[in-house]
Amino acid sequence: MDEQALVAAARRGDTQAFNKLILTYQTLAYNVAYRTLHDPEAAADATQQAFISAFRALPKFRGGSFKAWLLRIVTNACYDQLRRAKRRPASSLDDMLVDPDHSALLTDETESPEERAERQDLGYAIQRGLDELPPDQRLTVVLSDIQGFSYQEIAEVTSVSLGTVKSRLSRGRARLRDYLQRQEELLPRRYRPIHR
Amino acid sequence: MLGFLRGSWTTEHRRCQEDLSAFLDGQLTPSDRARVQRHLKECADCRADLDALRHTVSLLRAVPALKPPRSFVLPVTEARRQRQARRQRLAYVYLQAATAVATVLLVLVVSGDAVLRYTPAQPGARLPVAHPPATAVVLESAPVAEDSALPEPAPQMMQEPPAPTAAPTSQPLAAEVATEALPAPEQSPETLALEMAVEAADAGTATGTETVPAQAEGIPAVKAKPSQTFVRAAPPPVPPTPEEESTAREAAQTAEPTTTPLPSPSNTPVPPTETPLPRATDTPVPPTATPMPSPTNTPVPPPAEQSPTSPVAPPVPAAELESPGPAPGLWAQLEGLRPILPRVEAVLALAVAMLLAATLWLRRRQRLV
Repeated sequence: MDEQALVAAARRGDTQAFNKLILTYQTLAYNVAYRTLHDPEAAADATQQAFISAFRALPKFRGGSFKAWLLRIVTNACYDQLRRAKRRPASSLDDMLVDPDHSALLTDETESPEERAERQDLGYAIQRGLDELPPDQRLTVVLSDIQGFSYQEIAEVTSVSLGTVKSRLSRGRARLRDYLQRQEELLPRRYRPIHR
Repeated sequence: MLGFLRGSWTTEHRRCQEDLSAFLDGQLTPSDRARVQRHLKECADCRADLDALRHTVSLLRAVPALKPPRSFVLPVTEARRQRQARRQRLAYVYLQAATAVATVLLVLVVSGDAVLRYTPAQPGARLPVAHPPATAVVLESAPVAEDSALPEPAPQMMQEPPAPTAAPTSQPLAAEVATEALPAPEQSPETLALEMAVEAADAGTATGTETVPAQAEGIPAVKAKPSQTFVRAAPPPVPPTPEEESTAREAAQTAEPTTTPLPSPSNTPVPPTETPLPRATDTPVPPTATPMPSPTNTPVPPPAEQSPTSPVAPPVPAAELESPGPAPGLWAQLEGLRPILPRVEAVLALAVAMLLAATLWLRRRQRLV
């Protein structure tokens, strides 16, 4: 069954069909949520909440890109989590230093253990940099450069104009570049140097 | 010239910095792209920044994907659960609406009951149709002043006053006297009315809320247009015997309001009874020296006497009686409903309580879900 048929079936209340769509998109949704929130629990909550909301809101889906529509719901759930986190301050910095990424990587068979460890460190360093960005810029950078969304798709997901996407991406990338230049030692040796 | 060039160069530099990201992605218009390329040739800083930016983007692309900690598939019952949730939300909305409607009905019935309860006890029962609540309370407060003035029961007093030569005093004058007399005992009638209301409430099954509408409506009515209401309130006694008989019967039904106030006023509102006396005598003096016998009686009795004597007065009550033509029948019908009203009120109150409880329960359950 192709995506459109699954969406149509799910609209009629077919949970099985919707679950197939979830299986297709849950890694993407969780990764976006994790990179935006930098908290596995909050990211899982946001992802689950987004899928429940999406299933409920499906009758309102008016065609177009299902992926962009779904990701919009995911990002909204992320913003909800961010607001909630703002209300009760983050547990502690130590939690973030013990990086939860290490056990949660998607395994790539062609990768050597060393390469894999380096990529984990890279992910950690980048995440620290992303944490420094304002949420809008962070989300745009995540969608564009980690998930490979086009400008048009990002505009759809975040409900802003192409111009806004362009400027958010430009500022976010420049900020991240400056951060990595300052904190170069965080990067695995293989990924240095950041030229200047 | 050099400054201008320098200025334009800085602008170019800043624009280039902003465009580097889109330049990397090939998202610039051809002209912008050419401009950035031109600037890059001249500016080593921008070239370095572009390289660093490109490297950053490549690092971002190399960031490993994470494995979700668990599957997010929904239970097969999710569709049913959401249908139930939707039904519950709808039920909540309906319950809220039903509670509101029942509450409004209860308030209407209770206030209607209060109006019915207090109007028939007085002689002018039929007329207040135009302004049932307002005149009802005015009628109430007016006779109370009489009662406090005269130790005799109300019906007797009604027959006594006709004797005094109040006839010469014209209707407007009576209204004047009424308005004059009003301000002084302003407080005593109110409190008396309240007392009566409370007693009446005790007599019936009604709750305390009943007294509130009566009082609330009564106060503005008394202060707003006393002369009008009094003129209108006075005529009813016109047909002396048949009407009074009916009112007496009605009074007998709600005997308490008319009889009970008598003992209580003797204790507290004694000062008010004294104050209206001198004032009443002061004002009526100019027209005729009539008020001598019992001046406080003048507010109500004169029109009663007038109707038989002066030809002008009768048309007024007649017209007023006619204008609310269909009303008396309706009024009688409403009065017929009176006995069941307490039961209706009880049922409605129960309904409101149950609906409210159900609404709150559902809201709490929804919040938990």
